[in-house]
Amino acid sequence: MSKNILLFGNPNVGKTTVFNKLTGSHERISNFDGSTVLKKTAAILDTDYDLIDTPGSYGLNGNSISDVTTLNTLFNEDFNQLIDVIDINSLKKNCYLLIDLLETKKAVTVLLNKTDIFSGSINLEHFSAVTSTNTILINRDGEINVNQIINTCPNNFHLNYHPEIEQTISELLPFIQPTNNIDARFIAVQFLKANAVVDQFITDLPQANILKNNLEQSVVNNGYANSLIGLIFKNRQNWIHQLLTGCYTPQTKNNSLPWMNKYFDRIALHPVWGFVLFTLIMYTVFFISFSTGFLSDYFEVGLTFIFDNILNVIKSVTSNQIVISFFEDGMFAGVTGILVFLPQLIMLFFLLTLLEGVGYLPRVSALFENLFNKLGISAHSLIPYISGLGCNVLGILTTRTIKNENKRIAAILSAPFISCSARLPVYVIFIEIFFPRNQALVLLFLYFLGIFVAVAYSFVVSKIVYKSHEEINIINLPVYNKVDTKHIYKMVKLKIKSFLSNAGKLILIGSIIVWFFSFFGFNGYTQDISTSFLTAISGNILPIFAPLGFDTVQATSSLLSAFLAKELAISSMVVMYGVNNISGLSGVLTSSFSVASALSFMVFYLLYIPCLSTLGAIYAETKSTKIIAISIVSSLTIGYALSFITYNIASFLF
Amino acid sequence: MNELTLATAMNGKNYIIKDINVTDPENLKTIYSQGLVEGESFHCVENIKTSSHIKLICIDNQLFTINVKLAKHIIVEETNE
Repeated sequence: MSKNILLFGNPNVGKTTVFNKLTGSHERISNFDGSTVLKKTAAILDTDYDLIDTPGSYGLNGNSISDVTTLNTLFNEDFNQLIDVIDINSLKKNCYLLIDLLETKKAVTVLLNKTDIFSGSINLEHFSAVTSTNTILINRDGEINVNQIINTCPNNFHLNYHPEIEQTISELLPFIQPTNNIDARFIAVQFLKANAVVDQFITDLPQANILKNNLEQSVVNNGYANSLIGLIFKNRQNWIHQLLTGCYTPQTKNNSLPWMNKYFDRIALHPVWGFVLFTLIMYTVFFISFSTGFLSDYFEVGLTFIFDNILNVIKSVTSNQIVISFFEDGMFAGVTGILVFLPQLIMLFFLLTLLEGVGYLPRVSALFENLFNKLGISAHSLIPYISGLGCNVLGILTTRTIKNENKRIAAILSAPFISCSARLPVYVIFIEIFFPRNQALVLLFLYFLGIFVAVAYSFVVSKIVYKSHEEINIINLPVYNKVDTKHIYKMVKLKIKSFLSNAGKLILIGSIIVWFFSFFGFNGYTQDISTSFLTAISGNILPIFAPLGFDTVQATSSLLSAFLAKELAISSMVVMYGVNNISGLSGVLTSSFSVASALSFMVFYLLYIPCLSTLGAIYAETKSTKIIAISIVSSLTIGYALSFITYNIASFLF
Repeated sequence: MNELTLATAMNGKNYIIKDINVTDPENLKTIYSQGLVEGESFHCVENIKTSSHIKLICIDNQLFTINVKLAKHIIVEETNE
């Protein structure tokens, strides 16, 4: 017997929180539609069951890649039970997905969540009996009794549709191939709902289509509804109405932030003030992040102390110059180069998580919708853009929620222009040195430039190259919530841990590679960088960067190594300039760059070629080398052009 | 009598959905799955001036923005509920 349980739920119902509670995982929680885009599996604590999390969905409609992922999981995974997480405060709406799940005829456990903010009433026994489910009340903070969720009761659910629909369902059943113990009636209903994913299970598709078209005509001609889909949903709505009448009284407790819900949206969603507020909030985020810069100095002192002591031990063991240089100039210098920026990164992660946790970021989606619609860009593109602020790979993955394939490609190609957190250390050090009076403003300019280029690029791709059609948009805005400090702490810890474990390995390996190419040449070990392999390699491309103002071996080599991972840029510079810490790097950068070339370098670094992991994610999502080629060529061209313009304007101004 | 659509619905008032004139099946499923089904009532949120291209509505305790191009295809009727 299968030991797999599939987890479903509408977006924003607390599905990922339930997944984390049941499995002890630390998956990223978000109040964005589409935060879960990939199927995730983990063992349920204290049981021999596995829980498979699926992307949040309003129904099994098969009209987006995440929907298709969910349906494929249903048809292909070996499982014997479903869990549907439902927000008890909007039970009626959540029931549309529940009906889809119940029609599979698999055992279903319903977790009615958010009871902590529910002050209405529900007759649990009645709800459980009519839906033929094991129904449990849970809240956002409490534990879930794992033993209670295991449901082995048979699912006797049956929804009677309009007689003509029922007649067509019975005529369709002989054409349906049984699959994965999913009820054939479920496939028949999905087929009538125009869910193309189930077409593969219909043996005589032309005949089945004739039956569906005849039914569609009859529905419209007889005035039952405007469409067959409309009639199916009308029937479902009646069933939900009957289920909830007398059994459920909706009443939500006063929200923890009533003033925000009442007044804040007046500004946050305002067509003018909304953008002003967004700019101010982002400026404040960057200003506060920068203000933690003084902690970096303490951090650097601590790290230098630790590494100096280790180095002394190494020097006492060996006097081999190559071994000492390996640790001093390669490993320690490279690692210090990125670790000193942890305070700024922690603060940035904290503030962005806070904005998301409180419910502000989905408002930004709604705010930009009008602009995006006018430009022919999917309003859902904003989710990849905001996710991309953390990591561009995540940004690429969240494009799965975009239904229109051409707009999805536009979002995939444009998302890498968004400035991810890995780029922050370069900005921090250059801005601190060259723009000490306008730190937050210059950082804001760089982030907004990334957003502007992404939007403009997406506009060109979706309007001119792929000629996308307009899509409809309904954006769900969660109520503003009081900040859950425990949750924020967990999320920031998770992001930092992920940054350190992913970037840490790359930085260590990358620093060693850069050290090797910087301190070895055709004549073996050298302390003269002009005779190193790196100079020999980058020397050939140096003239290309002359018009941009940074035609030095160190600058171009750091760009080359940052292609592997953006985090490597500063570590590479520390290694190649032969300095041991950030203070030393600040000194040499002042003499190597001017204000104009520093700004030009940051613009190029922001826009040029996505890192290797991001290109991997693009290929995984598109399976197209053509898209990869377009991404590389266009980002290099745009980066070069804007960097050139920046350098010339800045040279004129400063 | 002029047909009242969601696009022209007034903020601060309650409405019931009478008809959804959308032909594309994918769009229809998106609308219906969100609970926007004929017969459902909703509230047009007041005192919040959004872009003229989106309507802010509250249905089943949840806030939504709907773009006006779509809202023009949703026929509504004012109710006192």
